[in-house]
Order: sequence, then structure tokens, then C-alpha cells
Amino acid sequence: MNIRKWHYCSWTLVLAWFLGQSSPASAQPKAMRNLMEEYSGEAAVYLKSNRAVELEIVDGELIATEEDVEEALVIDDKYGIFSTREIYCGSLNEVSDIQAVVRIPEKSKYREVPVGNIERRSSERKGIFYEGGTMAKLTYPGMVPGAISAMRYRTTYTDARFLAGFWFQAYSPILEAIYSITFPETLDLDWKLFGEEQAGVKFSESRAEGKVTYTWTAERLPKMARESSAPSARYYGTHLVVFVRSAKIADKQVKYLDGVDGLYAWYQTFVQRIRPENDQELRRIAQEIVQNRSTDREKVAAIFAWVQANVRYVAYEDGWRGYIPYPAAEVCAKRYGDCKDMANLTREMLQAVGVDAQLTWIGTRELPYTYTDLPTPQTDNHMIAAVKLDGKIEFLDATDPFLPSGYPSSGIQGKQALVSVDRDNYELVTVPIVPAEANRSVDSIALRIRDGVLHGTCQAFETGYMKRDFLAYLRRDQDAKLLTYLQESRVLGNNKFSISEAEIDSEKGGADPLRVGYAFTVPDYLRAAAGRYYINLNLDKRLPYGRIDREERMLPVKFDYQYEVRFHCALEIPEGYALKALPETVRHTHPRWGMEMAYRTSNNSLVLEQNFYLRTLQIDPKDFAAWNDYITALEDAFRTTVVLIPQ
Amino acid sequence: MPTFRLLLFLLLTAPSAFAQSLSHTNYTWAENPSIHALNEKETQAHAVILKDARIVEFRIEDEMPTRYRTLHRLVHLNDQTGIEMHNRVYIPVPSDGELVQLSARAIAPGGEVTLFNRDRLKRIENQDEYGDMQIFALEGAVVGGEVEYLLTVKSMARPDGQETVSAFSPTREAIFSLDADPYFTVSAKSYFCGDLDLEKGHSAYLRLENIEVRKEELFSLDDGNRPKIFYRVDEVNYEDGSKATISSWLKVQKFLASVFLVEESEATQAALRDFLKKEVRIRKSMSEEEKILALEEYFKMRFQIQEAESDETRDLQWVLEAKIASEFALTRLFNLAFRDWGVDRRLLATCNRYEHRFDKDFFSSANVQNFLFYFPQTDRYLAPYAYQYRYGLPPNYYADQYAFEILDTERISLYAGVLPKFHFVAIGGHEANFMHKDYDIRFAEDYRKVTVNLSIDWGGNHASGIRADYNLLQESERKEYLEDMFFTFNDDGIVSNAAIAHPENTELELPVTTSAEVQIPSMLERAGEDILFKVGEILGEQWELYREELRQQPVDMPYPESYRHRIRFAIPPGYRMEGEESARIEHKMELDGGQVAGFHSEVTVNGRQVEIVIREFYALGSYPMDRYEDFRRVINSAADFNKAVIVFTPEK
Repeated sequence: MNIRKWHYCSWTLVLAWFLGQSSPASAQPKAMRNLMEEYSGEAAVYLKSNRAVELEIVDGELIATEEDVEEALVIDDKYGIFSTREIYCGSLNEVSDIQAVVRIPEKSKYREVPVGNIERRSSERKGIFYEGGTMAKLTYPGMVPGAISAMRYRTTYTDARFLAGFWFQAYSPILEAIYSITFPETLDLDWKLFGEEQAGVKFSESRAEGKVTYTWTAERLPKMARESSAPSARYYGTHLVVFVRSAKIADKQVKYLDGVDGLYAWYQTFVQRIRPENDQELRRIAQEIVQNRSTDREKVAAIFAWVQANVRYVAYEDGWRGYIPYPAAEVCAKRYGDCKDMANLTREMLQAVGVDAQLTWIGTRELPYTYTDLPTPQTDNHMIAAVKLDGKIEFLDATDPFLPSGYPSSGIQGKQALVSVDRDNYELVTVPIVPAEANRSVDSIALRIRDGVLHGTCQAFETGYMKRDFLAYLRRDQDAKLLTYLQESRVLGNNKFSISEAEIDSEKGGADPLRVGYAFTVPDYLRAAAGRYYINLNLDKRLPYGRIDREERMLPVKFDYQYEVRFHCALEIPEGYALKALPETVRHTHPRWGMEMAYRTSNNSLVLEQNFYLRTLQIDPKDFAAWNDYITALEDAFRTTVVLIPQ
Repeated sequence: MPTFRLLLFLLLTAPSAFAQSLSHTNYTWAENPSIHALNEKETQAHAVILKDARIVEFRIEDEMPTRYRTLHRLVHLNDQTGIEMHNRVYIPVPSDGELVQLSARAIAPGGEVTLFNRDRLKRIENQDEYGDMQIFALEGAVVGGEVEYLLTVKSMARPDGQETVSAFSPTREAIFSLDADPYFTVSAKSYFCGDLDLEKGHSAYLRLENIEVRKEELFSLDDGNRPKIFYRVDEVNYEDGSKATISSWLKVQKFLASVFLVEESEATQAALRDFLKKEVRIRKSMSEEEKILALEEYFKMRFQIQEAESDETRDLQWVLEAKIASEFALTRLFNLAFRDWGVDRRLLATCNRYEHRFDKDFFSSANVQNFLFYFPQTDRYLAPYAYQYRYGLPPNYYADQYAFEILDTERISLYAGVLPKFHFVAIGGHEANFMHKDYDIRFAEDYRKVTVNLSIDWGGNHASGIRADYNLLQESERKEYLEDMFFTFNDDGIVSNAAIAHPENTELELPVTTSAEVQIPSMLERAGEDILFKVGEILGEQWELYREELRQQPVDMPYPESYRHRIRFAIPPGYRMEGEESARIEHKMELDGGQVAGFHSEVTVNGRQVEIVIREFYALGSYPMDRYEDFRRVINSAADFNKAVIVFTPEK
């Protein structure tokens, strides 16, 4: 999914650790003791986090040099994560001059102990096969409560468009965070501040000797919350992104990230750098794939499915290679590539059969930015293909081998996409959020009681992301056996739920539902007492998300996609028994979530119709109470048992 | 030391290697590859390893002992997942090594061959346990096709090594070949696969067919039970007729004693004494155990472990100053302190049985990867860098197997006639690893939930795990940690007043006690005017082996353990109780005339007061395969109890 290496690393780096200016070695431990008291309960606090950036024009190129300095005060002996520091370096962001010390308190002074050996290794990131960068790991010696770790290093960007963002908040408190950038007056600089504590960031400007310095300072902003199932920290953590719009170089106005136009023009230079290759074989394959497909939609579906099935995701990233796709013909022959390789291959194959497909840059939902707001490479981390069908743009992400044709991957729903039109033109298009009814799971269950044991058959139909998830988990399972997978993923009743036979329809693409059928028994689920049977027809009592602790939870709860789940459960009433009472229909409705559980009798069966829906990708804190009401209603409804009495 | 200078005639007249053993110089792959037919069973897998040949050779080259390790793998790809499992290749190439041969290709179902472009070979450095590696992705891999690669890595000879069969795909044919020049005496041993053909200490060969993928199984050693072959160089035979022992228990005794049991310098000893007094605050008035506990707590809470040994970590004075230690350094420091205090202890070298069970009958460095102190006076252990464990019971992964005792000078002379000396690390009794849970249950007036006052005593391994975790947490994280311990069957419980007693690592003799009040709606269901009380769910979800049909591995428990649950409630006024027989379960397992595992629950009714007492225990660390069904019945009893439901019906 990753388009490039360096800026991700930089973000990871700034999220993980913050920078500040070093204190003089003579600083008084007493002041630090006060801080330790003030921040007791924290493992450490960042005393300072400082980044000073210098933009210069060297040999006609705009170069950026960052000087990062950071200091952290250890508060208690659980400083584990503060005892080591990792710095990532690639060919587009070279790191040098790493210096680090620990100041160990001794009476009223500090003793300074330098960090000696810095371990270096090839950097690695999950999902990236070869990253090409290095990671420097340093370990602070002699750390004790009251010690101060201090370090500085320099980062040089050979292209200032790669400037990393700067964070004023972290998962531990930062007492002072300063970002300054000095640049020639002839340069047009812009910036964007994000996060919930922007009001706490002060801006100042100064000029001297033809240079301008912008400075942003924040003091004692609260630490960021860290909670599961939450949007990424970029949505709420306070951070700054600075970018160069244009610069006057040798009396010429050179455009850099000058709005979306500037970004697109730069991205086009990457596309132009794709090596030309002989694409005869690619064209032959493409023609073969679309044989007997007459409409563009059919051709798109066929080629998308071919790339999904035949090209595996393997990411080689190394410097500019993080931005420039391999030639489509090469990817087609190798049968592997990363997102941009697969996007480019999809595009080229479609174009080879006369369908006008285009490359598309996009940020996943991990990134809160839009190109309109922030026309920089920080706004995206992914590349896909797009095609216009029936006047509407559809997105093709072949990195997901299980994604139904016509669906954007769930991770880009609602995000702004930068869709190429031609070398000079583009479109900004918002990816639709797939409606709940397009991601549906419908289980039709027939139950009967035989010798005191519950037997059943189920016909399940899965569409959209429900279908995608089913196939993804099934295929990635070690032995890929449907019966085993169903057995483990669908526990109905209790964990003695046992499937005797299962079948699955051969996979159909697009929005066609996937059908799965199975027969099962659930020993020890039925309760017999005083000649009666007690049975709870809510066989699947899993909650969409649990009750939210309104006192503790600070951040929204996010979901991957919207959906509908339906169960139609019919119990054949055994001969000689009758239903004691029909439970009432229960309903709980909210614009974004809800359920209905309705019981009825039909011939000699008791039928429970359940319908659950989720029509949002996020529960905001203001809605936590309403969500909890829903969960209470669900739990209550799930506790309904019916009684069959002897006639 | 004699040199490795060799005489040409010796090379020429060297006895030919064992007929079956292979050499990278003449091993090759099919010149014209074609797609192989699969049998019905093989078509069910994501991929099938048709051939997996490992050829290990020890040679003398340029007067240096050299190892060649050759890997040939041919894989049939049945689906996309199979491709993803096999299209990336990682080759460990040590810093003194060289990839001397690499060929790779993909064969399409129609027979077209795509050769690997070696320009795409990449180097990555310093990757944890693998060191430097070269990596590549196979090109042209398609469903129904095959991928194949043949590679040889040359490096300085290592004293020993191992080859392990793939854990991910079934293997049709696996070959292991070991061959050494006459200047080496080598040996090998196979585990969980057929016997090796061994000849004259110079070669070994094994061919295996149709190796199935071993499923992950609960209560098993998994990787520890994987088919594998260990090999080693026993001796090097020099040209002057002398021999040098390379691998043996005695050799490792000598080496480890030289690391751990040598006299440290006066300055180091003084630095440690100063450290113990000023930093750890060891007082003369403290008992021996109090000192051990205090030192362990200090080291494990405040020292950082550096994976690689360095010049700095070899310097104990630097280690004490920097509070950064290697595993060796920490072991040395403990030992030095124990020696200074006159503590009677044994230093043991051992290994993690979940990776390899210690084998005293075949020396390999894999047996001596970790260190453990044993204190004979108290029959207790200390694992010097296992942060989750404290003085007392041994970490379960070192237990239930032998360990190698590193003898000091005095004990070497004592055991001179019976070296090497092994020590069996007993896994302990089930009584020590206990969990006693008391539940007092009240029903809400509207019968929409139960309120449970729950108190749990944790002993032995259960307690040490909680203590280690709890003490590493920030105060702000502890509340959530404690509340999570009271999870409920359907995760719908609301936990309040969670508390812990005796959480300190030094409170060795006391159980950890946790308590809380939990409100659980899902334990009560309405059935018209009847109420269903799902009493079995009070235990929380229990381990079960309902669906495991064909057990592949013997049962290995983390440690023997016992549980006692006492559940108390009153029958609600106006109701009578039915169905309590579902809460009565008994299964036991006997071995050699003694009960070795059991589950017994009984229900006592006294007026309207009901008490259910459950006793469950597993007395052994391992249970034999042929008694698996008995074991399974006991394990499943607790999960069966989960389904116990009591019905309250209105009194007429």
C-alpha cells in the first residue's frame, strides 16, 4: 500500500520521539525534581523538542537541512521505551551527525555520559520487502529517574518538497516544542497546522539579511490519547506541515508545491520517468483477457480481476523508486509489484484494450489531509488506477486480491483522490463511501431438534466488503479449508458448534453475492428442564463494538466500513410441543445504527428475523451515550429465550 | 596451534565421500524443467514443496575450515496464497560469507521459463538473529506453475548447525546431506523424522518423503517438535596427526566456565560491591533470599538488555555504570554477587523447549542458548534476564528437561569421573501453580443482570506472571490491566472496585490476590416467566479441544496447575431451581495407577443457599499421545461446565 519510504519514516520518527534544544550541563537538578513531582505517573517528559530548518538554493536546487534536537527527563523507572532511539535514513533524507548524551544527576549537578556505539541496520517496515534505507539505533546508558537523555542529528533533503511534518504533541507531555524555518526572502512558503490544540501554538516572524525566519512555539500542550480502534493520531495530534510554493532561482520563478497544480506537475515528472519497455506481451495478454467482453465495464472487470489474481504485492522501495513505478511490461512479466506498479499495469492493460484508465494518487484513511488543503506528498501514501464508466469515475485497487470490482478499497472511502487526466490535467474526486446495503451479510438458518440436540442448515450470502473479508480470511488461512474456516469463524450457539458439511459457490466478481452453505449441530445448547425445551434463537450474540467507557474514552471509534447483517432463523417446533409465548418484537433505531428483532410463527415454525445496520464509519464522543443505549438494547434482546412446552 | 596446511596427496587420496552424500559442485537442477503432476491430497494445499535439498559440506580451502551450505527448493504453486508463501527468498549470508551460487526460475504451467534477474538481488544488514541477508523475489510465479531456486553460501566453518523442514507447506521430498573432508570428524542427529545414514564420521544422509504440514495444536511444543537435523564438527584432524576437539560438552564446559566462573578483577569486584550498597541498597542484615530478590528486582527493572555482546558489555564496570548489559554480562554480574555473598548456587546452561528440547545425548550449541541459576538449599531458580520471571520457579520453557551444569573448579574435580553433569529442571507440582476463585453472586431485582463479588488468589507461575506485568506498567495503565483480568464470557461485564494485593515481585511467599465487583447482564435470560441462569459462564471462556480430531503431537503443558472455583448464590425468592445437574461434571485421568488430571464439580443445596465447588488439576508437564483422549475429556470438562444452565421457575 505504500508509495514511498522516506516520508513515512519521517512521520513515524516524529511521532515516536520529539526534539528539543539541549540544556546546559550545569542545569540544576532541583528544577528537574520539581518537574518529576509535577509529572509523577509519567515515565518521562520531553523537556524540549526543537527543529530548526534552513532552506537554501545550492547550484540551482532547493535544499533543506533540518537540525533536530531533543531532550527527555526520565520520571520513573519504567522508562523502557525512552531508553533507546531509532533514526531512519534513506537516500532522499540523509541523516548525519548523530550525537547523544545522558545527563545523570549527581548531587546538584549532572554528569554527562556520551552514547557510544550506535547500531546500524537495514531498515524494515511491515509490508515492504526491500526498503533500501538504514536505521540507526542508539541506547542511552546509565538511565535512572532524574536523568536527561539528549540528542541531536541533522537531516538533509536533496529536494525540499520532502520536508517532514513537525509534531507539537506526543504520547508523553512536551514542555516546549519549537519549529523554526529560515529561508530566502525570494521564496514563497506556506504551511498548514492540524490537530486539536492549534490555539496553543504561537507564530512569530523575523527578517534579517535577506532571510525570513518563521517560528512556531508550543508550551506544555497536553499529551495525546492513545486508544484502540481510533482514527490515527494525525486526526487529533497537533502538527505542522510546511511546504514551499515557489522560489526565485537564477531570476526565474520556479514552482514547487504551488497548489495542487504544482504537486501534480511534480508527480507527472515521476510518471515521465517510467522506463519505456517493449509491451508487446502485455498487449497480447490484455487482448486475450478481454476476448468476448464487449463493454468497457466488462473489460475493466476482467483486467482488474486478472491483475488481482496474477500479480502479487511485493514492494521494493529505494530512493526515487519509492515514487516511480516499474514499467508495466516488466511488472507483467515479473508478476509482482507494489501499489504503483500494479496501478500502472492496470492502467496500461486497460489502455491497451481501448479503455481510458488513469493513475490516481490517494491517501488512505490513516491520513486526514486533502490535496486542496495540503498539496504536498504528505497527503498521500497510495496509488491506484481510475477509470470513467457511465460518466462516473471508479477506482481500481488491485493490491487487494479479494476486492470486488467496482468497489474502492475500504481504506480510501471518503478520501480525496488526485486522478490524472493527461500530462497537464487532473481531477480531484472524492471516493464514495460504500453504503451499508452494498455490504450485506444474510444468513438463512433452518433449525430443528433431534434427540435433544439442535441441528441446522444455513445459506449465507455475502456482498461487498463482507464478501471481500470472507474470501480474504478464508484464502489466507493456512489450510484454506472452507469447513475449518467456517468452524472457526462462525460460532453459532456455543463452542460445540460443529459443521458437518459445507459448500461455497465458485467465486463471482463484482457485486454478485457469494453463497456459502453448511449444515451444523450445536450440542448442549438446548436446555431441557421440567419437560420443557428452552432455546435462545439469537445464535450469534457478537456485538458490533462493545459498550464505550464514556469517562475514559477520549477518541472516536472507527469502523472499516458500513454494513447490514440479517439473520432469518426458523425453528421447526417438534411434534408434541407448542410455543409457550411469542416474544415481542424489539426495535432500536438511530440514524447511523440500529436493529430489529421480530418473532413470528409460520406453519409449524418459530421464526426470528434479525436486521442490524451500521451506517457510519465513526462513532464520535458526543454519540457514545446513544451507542451505549444501542448496546444495552442489543444485549437485552439477545437474552430472550423461548420455551417449548409439551402439549 | 597446528596450521591447516594440507598436503596435495592427502586431497587426492582422500577416501571418497559416502556414496549418497552430495556436493554443491556437482549438484544441479533439471536442465529442461516441466510441471509436475500432483496427487489429490497435494492439490488441496496452497503450495507443495516438491523438493527441498540441503547440502552441507565442510572443506578446507586456502588452509581455512570452510562450510558450504546449499539449498535447492522446487515448489508447485496451487493458488495465490501459495505464491505469496514462496515468492520471496531470504538468504542468510554471514559477514564472512559469500553467495557463491544463485539460480532461480519460475516455470509457467505451459512450460515457459522465467529466469531470475540477479540485478534484483538485494542485501539487508544486521537483521536480528539472521545477521546479514540477501533477498530477492521470484519473478514470473503463477498459479499452477512452479518456482525453483538453487543457491550455495560459502562461509567460515561453524562448529554446528541445523536444518529444519518447512512448517508452511507439505513437502514431497526432503534431502539432507552432510559431507566433510577427512580433516573433519562430523556427526548429525535427526529429530522427529527418520534415522540418518551415518558413515565414518564424515558424512550423513537422510531422505524423507511426503512430510505433512504440522498443525498448530494447543498444549504442544509446536516448533520444538518440528522435524529437523542437527549437525556438528566433532574434531579437526591436523596434518601433524594431532586433533582438536571442536564441539563437545567438555569443550563447552571449558568455554562457559572461562566466561562465567573466572575470577573478576579486584576493581570489578569493588565496583560491584559499591553498586550493591549504594544503588541496590543491599544491607548486611538482609537474608540471603532478600538480597537475591532485591538484586533481581533492580537488574530486571532498571537494566536494559542489549542483544549483541560488545566490547563495552564485556566490561562489567561499564555495564554497572551504563545499566546496559548483554545476557552474558547480566549472568556474570549475578554470579559475581552470589559468589560475594557466599550463596550456594549452580549455573545451568539450557534452551527453550518450545524451540528445541534439551538433548543431553547430542551436544549442540542449540542446547546451551540460555542460562539459569539453581539454588540447591531452597530448590529455587533464577533466570537472570527473563523479565517475566522472578526467583522461585524456573521459567516454564526451561523446565521439564535437562540442563547443562557449568562446573566451577571445585565441582569439576568433584565430578571429574562423570562429566558432563546434567541437572533436571523439574517443572514443579500442580499445587504450586494454583488459581482459587470465589464468586458471590446476587441477582438484580428485575433479573436483568447478576452482580458478582469475585476474589482470586493466584499462586506460582500464575502469580509471577501477574507481578512481572503489573510492575512494568505505569500507574495509569494498571487500572485497565486489572479490570481486563475480570473479563466475562460475553465481554459484557461492567467491572468496578478492581483491586490487587501482594503485587510486589519480592512477595514471593504470598499469592497475588485480585478482587472486583462485576455486573454481567448476559448470565440471565428471560424465558417467559422462567429465568435461565447461565451459571457455567461465570468461569469465563475455557480452553477446549472439542474439534481436534487427529492429534499430531504429544501434550506438553506450560506447567502443571490447579484450579478451585467456589460459586455461591441464593435461589431467588418465589422461584425454585431446576437443571442444576448440568453443573455436576466429573472426569479424571489416571496413569500408572495415579490420578494425573481431573475435573470435578459438585453442587450443594442448603435451604435456598447453593454452593458449587469445582476442582480441576493437571499434575504432569507432559501427557503421552496414546492417552490423549483421556486428557481431552478432562480439558473439555471446564468448557462443558461453561454450558451449565440453571432454570428458575416460579413456585406454585
